[in-house]
Amino acid sequence: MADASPGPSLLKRLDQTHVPILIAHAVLGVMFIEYGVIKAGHPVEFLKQIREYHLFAESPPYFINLTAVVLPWIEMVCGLMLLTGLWHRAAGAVTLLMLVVFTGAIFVRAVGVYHQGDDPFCTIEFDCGCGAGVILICKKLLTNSCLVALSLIVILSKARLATLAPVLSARRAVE
Amino acid sequence: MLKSTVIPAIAIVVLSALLGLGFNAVRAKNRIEIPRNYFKVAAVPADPTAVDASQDPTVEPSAKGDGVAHPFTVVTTDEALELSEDGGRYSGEIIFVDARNDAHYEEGHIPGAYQIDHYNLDDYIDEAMLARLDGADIIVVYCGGGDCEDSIYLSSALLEFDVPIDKIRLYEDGMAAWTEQGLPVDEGRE
Repeated sequence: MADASPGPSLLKRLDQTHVPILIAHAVLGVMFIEYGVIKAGHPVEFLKQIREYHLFAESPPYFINLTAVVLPWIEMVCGLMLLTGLWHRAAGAVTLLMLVVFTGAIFVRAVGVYHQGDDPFCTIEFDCGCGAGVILICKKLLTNSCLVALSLIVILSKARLATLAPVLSARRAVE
Repeated sequence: MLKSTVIPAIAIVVLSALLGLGFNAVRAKNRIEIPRNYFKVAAVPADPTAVDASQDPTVEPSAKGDGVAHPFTVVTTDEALELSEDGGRYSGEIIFVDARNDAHYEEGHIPGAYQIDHYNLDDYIDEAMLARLDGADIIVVYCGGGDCEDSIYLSSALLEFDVPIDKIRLYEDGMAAWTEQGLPVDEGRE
């Protein structure tokens, strides 16, 4: 008798091709390493950019200063984890959290700029502190939304990649 | 989920913090001093006229840009030009201080201006600079102009080096206005 159970969904089949997870790892890994290096190389500029968002009180200055010092390294370490596959789901979770916070902050700041002037929202541009310089905010929000989607792929994908994890883990990868 | 994601995520953050703090501690330039408030502005006194009784009474302490109120006397481009051409420049009674970083300073600065990068004070405020600040009667502090507030922060920081507030003149419109008016600019280091 033929098996009547429905086959895997489109998303599952797509996931099983390994293409989405490979793209997610590569794009997120390279981008986060690149932006982390830029920020780590220009800490004062990054500190000034963080301040523009008014996320932290300036006194005491520990939070804003620690963010300027530590955040670039979180980006670089996550990027490295994604490229090597070591703790890649955890790295994906951290990048997702960062992206949600950054994107929200950029949006709020853009809305503030919008209300101060007469320009259409999608013509607003400023240096968001991401490492890409002055950028059209609509483009940035769209880019970040795509990166959020890629982070979700990293976290939710069931595909098993050739990673360093099995080398360090006691468990065998099960196909 | 907890074991495979949350705990490694915490480990990533902790590892990153250690690397970041370690790298920051050993870097030669642009080290962020964690306890330092880089954006501290001197308080506006309750009685604005008490800021400086010897100054032109028509020049008042001002707010700048997005409303950063400060207690410093502001000078216009014309006033800054007048001060730059005053004989006191040669005797050190009037000095100009550029609050920007090396790249911006070397790209172009007001002739004869000293540089004090507000974010690397220790590299710029030595005994010689303190002597210049002490010997000057007027210290004109500027940065890029426009949205640049580094001149305000540097002026506030100078107060902590016992520079009297009434010596400080804030050239708020900065290099942007100076170059827009075609005024002389020096490049490189003094």
